[in-house]
Amino acid sequence: MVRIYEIKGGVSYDRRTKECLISYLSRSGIIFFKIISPILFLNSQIASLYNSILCYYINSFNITVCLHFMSIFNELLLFFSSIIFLLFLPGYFLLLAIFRKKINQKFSPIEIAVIAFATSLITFDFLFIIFGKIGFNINRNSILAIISFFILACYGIYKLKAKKETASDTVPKKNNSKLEFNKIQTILIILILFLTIFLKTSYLANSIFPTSTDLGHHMYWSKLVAETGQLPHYQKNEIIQTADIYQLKTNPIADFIIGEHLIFSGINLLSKISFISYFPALTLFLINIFGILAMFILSLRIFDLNFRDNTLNKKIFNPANLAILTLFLIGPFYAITSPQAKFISGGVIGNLIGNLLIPLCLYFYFRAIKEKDSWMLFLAIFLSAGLFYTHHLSGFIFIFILIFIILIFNFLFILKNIQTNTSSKIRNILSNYKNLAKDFFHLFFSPPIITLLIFALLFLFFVYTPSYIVTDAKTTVVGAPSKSTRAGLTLEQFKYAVGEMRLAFGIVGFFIISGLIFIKKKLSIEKNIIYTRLLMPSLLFGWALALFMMTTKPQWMRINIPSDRVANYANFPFIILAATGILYLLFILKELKNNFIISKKIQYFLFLLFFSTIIFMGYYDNSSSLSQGQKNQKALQTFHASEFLANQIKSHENLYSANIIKDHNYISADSWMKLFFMTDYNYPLSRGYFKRYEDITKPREMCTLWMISEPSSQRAQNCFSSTNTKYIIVDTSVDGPQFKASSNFSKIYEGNSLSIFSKNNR
Amino acid sequence: MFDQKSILISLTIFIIISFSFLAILEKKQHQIKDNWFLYFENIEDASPNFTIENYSKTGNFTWEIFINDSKVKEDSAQVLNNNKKNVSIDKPLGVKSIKIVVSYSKDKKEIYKNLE
Repeated sequence: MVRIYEIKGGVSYDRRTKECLISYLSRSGIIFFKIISPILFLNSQIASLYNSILCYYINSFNITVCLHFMSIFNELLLFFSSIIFLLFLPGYFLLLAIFRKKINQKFSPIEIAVIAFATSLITFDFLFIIFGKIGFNINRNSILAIISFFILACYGIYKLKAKKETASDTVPKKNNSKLEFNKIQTILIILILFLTIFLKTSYLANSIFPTSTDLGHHMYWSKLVAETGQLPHYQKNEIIQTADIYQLKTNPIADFIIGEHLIFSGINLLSKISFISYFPALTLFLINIFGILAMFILSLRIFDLNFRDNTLNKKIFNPANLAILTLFLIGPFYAITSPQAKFISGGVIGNLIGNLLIPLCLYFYFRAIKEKDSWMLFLAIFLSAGLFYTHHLSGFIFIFILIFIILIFNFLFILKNIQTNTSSKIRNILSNYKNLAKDFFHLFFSPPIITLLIFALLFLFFVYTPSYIVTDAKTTVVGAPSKSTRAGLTLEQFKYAVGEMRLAFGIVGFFIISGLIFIKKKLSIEKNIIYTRLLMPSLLFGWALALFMMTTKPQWMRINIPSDRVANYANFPFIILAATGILYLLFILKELKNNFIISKKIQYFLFLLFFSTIIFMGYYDNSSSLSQGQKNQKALQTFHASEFLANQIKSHENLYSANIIKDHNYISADSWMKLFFMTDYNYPLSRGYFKRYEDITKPREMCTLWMISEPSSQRAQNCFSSTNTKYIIVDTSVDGPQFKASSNFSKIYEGNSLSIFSKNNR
Repeated sequence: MFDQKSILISLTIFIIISFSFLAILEKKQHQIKDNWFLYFENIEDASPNFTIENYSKTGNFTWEIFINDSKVKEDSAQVLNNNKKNVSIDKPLGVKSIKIVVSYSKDKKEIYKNLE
């Protein structure tokens, strides 16, 4: 009656395994050289050479030892080369084409690295969208071809234009001396970066395994693009109730935006690393690191104008120190809490990209106006457009930030004009506004800006319109708050969202910058000096005020979005303001000692007390945010059950139309299940959090609740038949009993905590 | 010597070390441990064949077959770590449903199926 088959023998790496290994490494090695060849302009001969060397070494060493490390080494090699190819080269060559020989004059090396990263991200998205819309099948070869062509085109423009530039136009390579750091500052920056990466790595060690709900949802779309080679249609099947009848209907989704997904598809297509792996989290980690550096270069530039030649002690109060302090406050401090490492493991892609692009957009708008450089404005608009194709919330908040900056600028501009010693103040204001308008006109109505704006409009209307515009999602975020979670945070909650210490010193910084603008008596009435010197305070005050108002008083702004999500953006301006506040207190400490009011010992004591308070407050938050334990074993069970069911469905054609339901409350990493089936965003159907079914502000279908909580009831049976749901994945101990008690279901799979039930045909 | 390039080189080294460490760690975490699975070989047809997939220590798995709550067969098989075993059972005639209970150490799992 019974026969037993051994499916797989014990593990032994025989000749066949060795051949498989050589074949695998050869393939991945050749892919690596295919990626890297366009960079190095080398031909495929390198790939065959690599193959020969690989075979020689693999035959020489112990295969069991090197198998594991070689596969990881190869994967990492492919991952890093994909990152360089997609996230550095396009942006770098674009900068080279725009600024040519002036690139080293305009930007320091750190600035080039950060800007190249962000512009590459946006360039890749736009190229991907254009070629996807034209009808190109997006695969590894087409990505290699498109990006290589773009790089070569940019290089061609660079060479062509560089030749035309006369000798007088050429500039020495290193004349960006203003942004150079001394030895101590350089060591400090390296130490801060080390500490930042170390702390985040420590946290991610426990959460690098892909389990987060949001990341699972996002990776479905990235995998869809990689598998189909086409741009995704953001839609899902939803259960719709009409009277007592339930049916599945396809509806568009407004929550997902294409810019959040394409880069992951690109990396997957080039490196062939699975989506259910470390690579999505590491890509987000990289975005987070460059977001921090974006804040660093922004503070370096905005303080450069006002604090380069100021009246304060230059040894302490200089742009480099202010930028280092900003890096210190955004890097190691609060390194784990939102929107830092927790956003990386949580897969909050849009916010992380938004936190990279918002400071960079402000950086370019600032420099464009300060230097009257239309190419800077070109990059500002280019990155702003990228922001709107990446994350609607960040884009929406960015609009408010810009409005507040403009309002504050005008307020300060009028106030400064009133302060001047001219007889007719109104005439003076009008005259200065006239000059300001002239400058802005020349800046905005320049050929690169007009061309870019025309392209942007054509792109928006004829190439690709973001899903949130098509679905009219704006109506859901504009208006009076519809829930208590959208009615604004209290000041106490705002304090914790920003960080107590950052908020406290940020307020100090606000008063110091205000004081520096208004107390200074010797004002120049020369128009340029007035308005460029107002850019830094306008930017910081407008940025901080916009987010403060949006977080605490959303009803005044007529916005209807969760206040805690807006609060995640609020710490950025307060960090730069706090850096000013802290540095000013250090300056006072030094002045007190210089004037013999306090002794050197007291100065050191106060300094230590001051810094230990800051460090305690920053690191207390880090320690309380560290995650407890690992979730990987539970998630692996989920993946195993999903893979089992997906394989079964794939092997039975009559099951293609059958639906699945799973539980979100008790199953770990359940959002990743859809990546095994790739049928629909809402496949499997999901029983959501129980509170959602009780939310009177947003009534929803009840089928998903009934089908798991009370599967034998008549209403659940109606739901099963109307949605054609055949398989149910649940936690065995929590939801297993109600299925076991019913004769309508079979149990077809059991692991340590998960079970799969199937609905019997009768 | 102490210019921005040294900062960028340091940053690159930190990123490579951190990312490599996290990638290796994630690979290690990707291995199922102390778990075993029991499932029907084919979920759609009326075959009672089942599979035991073992990710815990190599051991003896005892399985019992129940028809109408009566035990009709009991046997055991050794399943190696990281291996699986298919157990084929001839479909009993005129039986509506079948239950398979597998025990390993102190752990017990069961699956059942409608054979009609």
